Amino acid sequence: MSRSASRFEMMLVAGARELRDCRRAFIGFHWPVIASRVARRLYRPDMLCAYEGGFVEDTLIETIPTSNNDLILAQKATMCGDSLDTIFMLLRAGWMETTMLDGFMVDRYGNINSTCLGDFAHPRVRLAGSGGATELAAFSKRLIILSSATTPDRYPERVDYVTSAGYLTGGDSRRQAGFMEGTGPTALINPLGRFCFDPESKEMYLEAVQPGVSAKEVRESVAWTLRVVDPLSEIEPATPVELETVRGELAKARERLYEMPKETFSTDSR
Amino acid sequence: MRGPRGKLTTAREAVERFVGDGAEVYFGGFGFMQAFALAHEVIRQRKTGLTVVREAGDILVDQLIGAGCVRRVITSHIWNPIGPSSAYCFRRAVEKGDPPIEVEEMGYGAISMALFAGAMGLPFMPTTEHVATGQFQHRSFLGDRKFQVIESPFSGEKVTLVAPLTPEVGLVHVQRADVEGNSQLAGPLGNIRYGANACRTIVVSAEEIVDKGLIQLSSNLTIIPGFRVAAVVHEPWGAHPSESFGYYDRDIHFAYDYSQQAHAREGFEAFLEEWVYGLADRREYARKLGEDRLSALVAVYRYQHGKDWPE
Repeated sequence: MSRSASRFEMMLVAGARELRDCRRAFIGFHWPVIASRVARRLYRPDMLCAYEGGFVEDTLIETIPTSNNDLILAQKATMCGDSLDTIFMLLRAGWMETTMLDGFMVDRYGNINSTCLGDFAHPRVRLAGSGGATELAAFSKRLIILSSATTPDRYPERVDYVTSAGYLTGGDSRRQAGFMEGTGPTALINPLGRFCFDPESKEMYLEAVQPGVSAKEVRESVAWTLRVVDPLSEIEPATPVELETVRGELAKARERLYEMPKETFSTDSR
Repeated sequence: MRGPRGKLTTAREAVERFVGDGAEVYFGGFGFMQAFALAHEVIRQRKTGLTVVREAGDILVDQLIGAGCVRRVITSHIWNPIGPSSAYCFRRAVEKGDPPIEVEEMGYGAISMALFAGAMGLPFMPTTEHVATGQFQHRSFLGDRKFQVIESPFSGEKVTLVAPLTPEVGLVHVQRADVEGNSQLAGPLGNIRYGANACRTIVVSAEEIVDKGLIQLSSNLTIIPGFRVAAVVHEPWGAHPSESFGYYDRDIHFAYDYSQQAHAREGFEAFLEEWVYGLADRREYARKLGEDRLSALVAVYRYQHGKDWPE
């Protein structure tokens, strides 16, 4: 490896580590697909993955799927059924240990917006919309959000539209709205750090920074006054084998036409 | 219809006969197994004012919107999963009113449960908690018929309910069917089984038309009983550029190029001219794709071209 990990690569390294002890994962669209592949190569070759398209598999295939419902991924499936089977029978009923979900825009209480910027009826920018992300955020006992975003416009105080419920307005508001006990986001990992949620207020706080990133820089990347734990720890840098694995997967992802965040290619000066 | 041709017809006849302007139409597919052959025929016949019901939109719905066929959409999302990239016609319609459409958005699980309720003949279904979410607060044309909340009579917990969706007509693509309409889907089903059976009238396109005897030997693969099907269309490559499990893989380059082209309105119109209006039917479409491109897409895993199907 000629250079150290970029921050985006570190997001995937740290994301994969979240699945180190996971036997059964529900994998959402986009970067979670890559992180789960890295985790299987490094830690859990036998990890079972379920997807919203209605199938379950526990065997890594060489070809990277273009999304979690690309059926190239189902060629070694051990069960193919309806979407209701995986989303409700396996996830909602509580059989999956960890869910990994991509978060386009995430607010102070972990609510995700992937629907629109501005008013729903007349948005400035219309995004893709809910898909199964609404269900993944609603049902999961351990929900890890991955986001490649690092700017305050993507971490607003309050999202314009709650596509996937986090802790709503904090405190016990999620429970009051009827969501199941013990569900809700556990952590968010982005290229700058790892964030957790206060057990009482449910506000997102900075728990650890990515290698070489300052707390100041992270504070400036969100639109509210971010609480930072003291003392602040640093995420372990990528080992050579982690980095090699992430880069191997990203190289294949590019061949499968994944759009890469620009910083993937920037050389890290550390 | 027990004659040798049974309910077999062409996409052109089926769409002419069963899809009226202003109809509520369900299109089968979830990233995979999208009913592209039938959707293109809808565009070719310049249907208008449709309410499209689709669990997850993809570029099929994007094309229907850009072509001016759609007035309303009920869906969980619309985009191009390759990249991923925006569904640009959808964005032009919602952001700029070109053309104006109304959107009702629900989570994928919620819309799947609404179709499940429709298929089962139930008055409603409990579903994903939605209180305080955007989908719950921002209601379009479904209004009160979108979500209701009750206290569970068993636990006292708040429960979100969806009303049944029962589209007038369903256009669905499967791997194989017989001439009576018994339709089989292999691999992941998405929500196609319940989506199709929620519809009052069902039109099926299939990669292969097979003998009833083969259906009888593998009847657990049947997702729609023949008596529910109004018309059967033989459409090899009918889901392209999405994948048909065991027959062909997703054509990611086609889907990628589509978004590059559809980014501008003129590009999208050129796409329609080249791939829809300029072609008489799916056979011409497949011919235009060419032998080399198609053979590179043929699935290498099980169920390959019917050879390894359970018999």
